[in-house]
Amino acid sequence: MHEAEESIVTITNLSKFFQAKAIVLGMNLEIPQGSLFGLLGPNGAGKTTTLNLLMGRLKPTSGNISILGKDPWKDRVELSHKIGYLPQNPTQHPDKTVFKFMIYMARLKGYSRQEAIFKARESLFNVGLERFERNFVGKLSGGETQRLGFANALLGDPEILILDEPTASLDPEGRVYIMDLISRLAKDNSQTVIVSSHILPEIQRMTNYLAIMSEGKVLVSGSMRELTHNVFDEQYEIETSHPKQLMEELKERGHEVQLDVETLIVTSNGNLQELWEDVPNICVEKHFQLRSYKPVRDALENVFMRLVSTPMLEDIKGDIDE
Amino acid sequence: MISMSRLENFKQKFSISPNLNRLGIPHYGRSIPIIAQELFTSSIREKRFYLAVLYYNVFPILIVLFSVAQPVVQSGTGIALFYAQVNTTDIIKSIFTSFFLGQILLVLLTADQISGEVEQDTFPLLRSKPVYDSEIILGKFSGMLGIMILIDVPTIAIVYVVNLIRYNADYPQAYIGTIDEVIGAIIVVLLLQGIIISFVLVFSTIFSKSLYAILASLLSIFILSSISGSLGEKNNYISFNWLLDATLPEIFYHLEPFSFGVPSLFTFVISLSATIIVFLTSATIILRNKELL
Repeated sequence: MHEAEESIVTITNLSKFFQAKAIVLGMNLEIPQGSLFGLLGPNGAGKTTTLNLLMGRLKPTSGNISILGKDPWKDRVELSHKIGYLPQNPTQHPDKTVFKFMIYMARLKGYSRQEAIFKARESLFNVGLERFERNFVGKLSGGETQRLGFANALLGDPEILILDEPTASLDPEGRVYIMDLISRLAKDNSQTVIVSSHILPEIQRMTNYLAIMSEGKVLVSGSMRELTHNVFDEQYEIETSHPKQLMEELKERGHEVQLDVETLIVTSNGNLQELWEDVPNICVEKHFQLRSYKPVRDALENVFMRLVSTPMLEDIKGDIDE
Repeated sequence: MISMSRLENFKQKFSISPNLNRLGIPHYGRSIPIIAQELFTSSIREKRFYLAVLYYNVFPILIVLFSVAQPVVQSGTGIALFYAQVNTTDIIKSIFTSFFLGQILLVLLTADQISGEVEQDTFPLLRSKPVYDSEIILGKFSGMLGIMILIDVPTIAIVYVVNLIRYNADYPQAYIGTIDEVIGAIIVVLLLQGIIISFVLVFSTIFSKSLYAILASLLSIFILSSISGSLGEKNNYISFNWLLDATLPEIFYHLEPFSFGVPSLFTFVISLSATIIVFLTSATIILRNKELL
């Protein structure tokens, strides 16, 4: 993390044990303000426990958590004003209508009855559930229930949104909707969004900062750009109007280039700065149209290959295949 | 305009919120009526609520109707009238009180207020909002007390008032002779029920499964009652016997007069209130330290 970036969450040497079993062990993490922060790891990595610790639902065995300068276990109530939380499987009151449930939640958030009505409608509108106001919560589909959980988390425009596996148990359409919603939230507001997932492409799509967890430890963390630049951003995909000509030009300048159908795969071999300068310069000089220039898609997967063990990788790959 | 600004100044000066803010507890208490209202409205949709209504209302009202409809065979009052009534009411009373159903229903209604929410996973919703644990406990307590008021206060009032009218306050089983004594009896009954509610709330915060909370509460109440039964005289507030007797419908028509004077009565009410506070504080401390997995 850059020093200039202010941390909204600071975790120092955090551990949580359940009956002598370490679920989170010696975790150190800083989450920058305004970031879309992904907590990525296979099932059982300790992501949900970490989020529960952040929410003040669990007491740390050792170590410290500071959210906006406060301890979530001790100052849970003050922080609840500023945090919206979506649990992994949001369970709401099934015998209530969507609207009544939201009003109840808004009133607990501290709004007067009139304000609560307004806030409930606003939140339901934000997640596209305004048509379901009169439906019973228990009759909603899985995706709709998840969206309702989202609406609840969004009440009161919290500074920090904590989302635990928000796309789990959703159909593909629901997943896309939720991911777009998260991206939209980050653009519209200056909220910090902390999202956990074990599905790599989703984390890639939703977040700009990342921590990879395994067996209760943070293996690596930082901005997506930092991680890809420093660790594994060796290969780039380039789409251009003249791929063959560009390939020749790049080869002449000493870059390792392959042509995959119409896409150029360029390996920087450590000369990343040079590659970044050469590609646009050649395109400008030769009047090539540069359509796309991005890291190879499975760059993050490469990190996993280096960081986590094979069984975990298979687990993640399985999710990607789904 | 001047008076309005003075009023605003007064409000600002003496408003409790800034003082609470200074103490670091802003808007304390705002959630209590919301939680109580939620408990109240959700409870009246449940079958066990109507079972409690049936139990607390139908039998005592039947007794009243029965005794009102029954011709007074004795023209006199006092002990002669007592013998005329005692046979019929005692039959119903003995069946009615022998099951200890009043206590069981109260426990059933209260025990899963926290543990049931933990079990159904709706408690984290409550915990994720800016609500103090003591507000949750007080909200649940107030809601349950509200339900009990709805269930048994009208019945107690009817039974005693009918008693006053019908028997000119001379029905020897009641010992409640005036309206203020009726009000006093209702307050005492509610305080005693408050003790049961707060006591059961402690178990509801300890256990994360409502069944365990119910069983532990019932067991504890019966053990306490049995111990207290061997400790002292019935209705002696130093013993715990009142804990058992208070929740039984017997109290509707068998609350004996307090033999002590006003200072003792005051001590009695204070003791009951203090017991409730101790239980509620215990429940709050347990909940404060409860981890939600």
